[in-house]
Amino acid sequence: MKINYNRPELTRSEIEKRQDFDSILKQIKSVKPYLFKKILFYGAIGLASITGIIIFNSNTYKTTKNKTYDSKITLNNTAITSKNETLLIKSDETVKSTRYVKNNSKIIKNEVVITSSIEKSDEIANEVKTDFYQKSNLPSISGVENGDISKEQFLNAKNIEIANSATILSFKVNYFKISDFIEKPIIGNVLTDDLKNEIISYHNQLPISITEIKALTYKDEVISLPSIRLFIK
Amino acid sequence: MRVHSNFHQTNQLLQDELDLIKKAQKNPEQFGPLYKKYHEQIFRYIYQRMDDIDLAHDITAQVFMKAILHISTYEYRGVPFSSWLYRIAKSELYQSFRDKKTERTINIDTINVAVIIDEIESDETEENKKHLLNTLSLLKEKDVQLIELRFFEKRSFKEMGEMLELTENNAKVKTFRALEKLKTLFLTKKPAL
Repeated sequence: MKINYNRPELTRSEIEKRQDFDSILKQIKSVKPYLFKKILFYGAIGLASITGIIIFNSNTYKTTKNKTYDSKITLNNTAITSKNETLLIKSDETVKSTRYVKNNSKIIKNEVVITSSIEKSDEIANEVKTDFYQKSNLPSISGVENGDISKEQFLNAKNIEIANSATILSFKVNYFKISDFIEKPIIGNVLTDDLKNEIISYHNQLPISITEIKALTYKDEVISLPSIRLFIK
Repeated sequence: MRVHSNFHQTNQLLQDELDLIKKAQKNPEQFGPLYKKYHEQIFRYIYQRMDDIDLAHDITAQVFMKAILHISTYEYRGVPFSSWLYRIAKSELYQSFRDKKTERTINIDTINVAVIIDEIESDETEENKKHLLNTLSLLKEKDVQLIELRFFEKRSFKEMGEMLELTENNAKVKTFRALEKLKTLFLTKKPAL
């Protein structure tokens, strides 16, 4: 550590002479297109995610609605009622092969014989997909799904982690290198040391996103997983 | 050197400042009045800790650039805007030390030497002055930082807390510990007569 004793103090006017707000604004304007790009980028991801969720939900809805039919059944002392009065009931012949679960539903035992419109929900086909959106199965880097990650955690990460015996097939890493926006597609599931070191060197406190994560489930389905957004601290 | 800190502001001044911040959040070009208000004190904070005037100006510009770029994330916490700027300044400054762009420097004048000698209850002799300068360079960076803020720049513990992200009380405790360390080093490393 260097010690200066009685260094001449600068006057206020000497400091004010070097004020240059316009040049700061100019520099910001040169950076702004990248920010605009960034907004567009995250906007596009957000829009794509919402569209994905809508499509996913409408598919689930179709699989239940298309299989609705009227019949009169007697269940073995079991009926399922829901708050919104939509009945979702197991039919005798499919009790063992089909599961029926719906939000706001509750099971009442030892009660009634019901006559109603029955929605037969063949939900199992979608079970794999919905499972992946549960918190414990979100993709992560060193256990971080979103938010702050330390440099050490990031450097130690070998790949994207995912539970539920799925295999990551590909993904894209998006980050800033000085003021350039970099989008790097990766085939497979390896975060190389070169890539991590480059990100650490240049991220400049801007977030890093890992998007378009494709995974193969144990049902041999290729699914897209939610993006990971990290702030390296 | 006492900095021209605007930390103790009235509620009215804080509200006026908040209006300026809100305008700047909507339009970066409206950041001008905040830049004018705080440029000098941020520059002095940076230059006080290094010995390269051009680099100090560059880092000051970088601080304001980052502040403008991230002003949308600023949240008012009832303290002057300068606290936020100082935190950015500290981060930029220490980054430049890590990047070895400049050397960490302690700038001290006769008055500050006298203040510290008085605090460590010693005599103000030429020998003690020289010894104090040597002892200061032996302190850890975090302790130097506290001593600079409190005894050289005459900042309140509240402001120090805001700048270092500590509570006021914690800033007080840590400062007195740093002073105790300086005192111990001063007495133990004193050259024999």
